[in-house]
Amino acid sequence: MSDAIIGTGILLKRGDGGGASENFVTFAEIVALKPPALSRNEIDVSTHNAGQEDKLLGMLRKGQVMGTLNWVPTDPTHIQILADIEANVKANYRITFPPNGLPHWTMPARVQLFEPPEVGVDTALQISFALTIDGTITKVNS
Amino acid sequence: MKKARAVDVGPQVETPEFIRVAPDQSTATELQPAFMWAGRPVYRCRHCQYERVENAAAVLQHEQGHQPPARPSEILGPDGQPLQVTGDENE
Repeated sequence: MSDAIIGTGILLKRGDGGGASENFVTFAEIVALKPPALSRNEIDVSTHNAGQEDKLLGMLRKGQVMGTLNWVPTDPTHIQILADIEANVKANYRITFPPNGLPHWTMPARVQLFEPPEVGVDTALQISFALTIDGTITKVNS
Repeated sequence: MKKARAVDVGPQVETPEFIRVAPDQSTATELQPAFMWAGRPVYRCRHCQYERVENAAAVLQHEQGHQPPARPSEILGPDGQPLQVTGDENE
């Protein structure tokens, strides 16, 4: 039997900048969320001497947090994400994983994308967003 | 061609009118902020992680989804007494 966990309930939160006692609030109406990819570039160091492929891995790189929200323009968290991209604000964000919010990853980031798609006559009002991580991802497992 | 014969289905039983009792909602009438975020109250569901900033009404409405259906002991018969459950007839 599989121990797979359903992804429903993954959440994105934003801190209020309160330092050690910082409070994080959940973004409303999260439709989809992609945690950051972690990767290292492959650096080819193959030599004639060895005569075979030889590679190193470079520095740890952190991809973007990306997602989609049902956009409620009057919701305070949606007002905040729009204000953050306009002012290029660096803030702490937290991703909590289902089912009980652990583990959670906390990272400083800036809003790099706030993109409303084309709105048809029979579609939900949504936005796509992306966060560029600017610092260390702190992982808490329990 | 055979004629259809009446089948004895036993005495006719009058279907009682069941009265459904709503689940206890006394705890859902008030909601205090769980914490403050950037100087604003954040309300959180008492059953899960759902939360909204400055919108207690949305959280209260969400909490209704956690209310369980009425149990047999909460369903009253026409005499005002809880129904007696005797098991599934199909078992």
